Amino acid sequence: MSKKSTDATRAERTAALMKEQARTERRRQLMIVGAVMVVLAVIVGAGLFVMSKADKTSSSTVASSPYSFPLGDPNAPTKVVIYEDFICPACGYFESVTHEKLEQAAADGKVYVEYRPFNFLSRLGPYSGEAANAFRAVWETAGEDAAMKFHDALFKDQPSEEGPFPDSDWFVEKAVAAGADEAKVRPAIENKEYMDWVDKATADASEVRSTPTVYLNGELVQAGNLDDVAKQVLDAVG
Amino acid sequence: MSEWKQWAGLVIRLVLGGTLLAASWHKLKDPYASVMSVRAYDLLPEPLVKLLGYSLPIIEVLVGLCLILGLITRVTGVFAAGLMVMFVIGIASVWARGMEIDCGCFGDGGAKPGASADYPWEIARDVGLFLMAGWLVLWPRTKYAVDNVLLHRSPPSGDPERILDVEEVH
Repeated sequence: MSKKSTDATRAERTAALMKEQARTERRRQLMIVGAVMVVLAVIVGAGLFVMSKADKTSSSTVASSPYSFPLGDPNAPTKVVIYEDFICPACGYFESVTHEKLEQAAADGKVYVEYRPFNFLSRLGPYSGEAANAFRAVWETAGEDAAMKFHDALFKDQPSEEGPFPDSDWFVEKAVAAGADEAKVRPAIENKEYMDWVDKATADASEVRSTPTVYLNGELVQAGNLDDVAKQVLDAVG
Repeated sequence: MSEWKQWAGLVIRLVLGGTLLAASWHKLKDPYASVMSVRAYDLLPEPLVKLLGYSLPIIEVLVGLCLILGLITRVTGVFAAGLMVMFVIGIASVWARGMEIDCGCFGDGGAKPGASADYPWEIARDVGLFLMAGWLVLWPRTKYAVDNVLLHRSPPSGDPERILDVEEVH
């Protein structure tokens, strides 16, 4: 074999070897990437399990609460629990869609509703707490019918969650219009006499993570939007 | 690959990875809030809402960690880009439907009046992050990455003749 042909063969073999080596290297890299991805996929799977365990409220059923405002006959065939905050715009919307129909159905003995107002959005300012306090004040001093009217009036004229928030006179005016005695209700509103009740109701609702949160016959109503929640409730009530 | 691109890649890894970690943190602590945020988009059927609500923060934290470490950079770049496409579609769709929700990007989602004012900026941010992720897919070789060790990114250099010589010993 001539020197020249030996050189050529040598170069070819070198090229082939390098190609082979690059292929092996590539395969090794892909295997490492694949192995890392398998490990990550296992972590995602484990994480999903942990997340579903840590998510306590979403599938929960509702317990009874002494901080419930009753509407209708407790023995009615359908039972609805509504956690709400007086400043929450979604609650205002939900009320506007449901409250007339629910009040009618309750009067007809078809549904028993428990309204559970609490101070969920205290971060937005004092209104939530003050409104709940005023609601309790009307309820205590003037009874359930007046409180129901006051509740509806608060949602009907709900202030913006960005403020400005109304003063005590505004609450008193609405309370009196709902049937409360100003001499009794004004001091309770101005001195926030039922703030303790509001705080306890709020502590009692600590599992509630958004407002409105609605339970139908003890089961959390889950839907993509409020219209669907309202529809499920109203359909069940009939 | 030129040196500056590897440095740029490092910066991108840290920014993109850090953003994803920050976004995942709140949702990891509060699975319920994460599910709520997804539900607020009103795009998916309920079983998928939960699945996505649970898995999204996990994927975010893993992709974020991998990016910061420089672990399987190209693959995580693809995932990060996919996430951003998903987010842009989500925000654009609520915008188009005239809904007012907090995007839930870094915290609690849900109804939020006046949120639509933020949509253009949120979309611009996610497009920016998408471009960063795309950069890493195109140029996954970066400075100070685990990949550099793990994958021996630079093939063994040296004299091809010597390689052959070694082979010839056998």
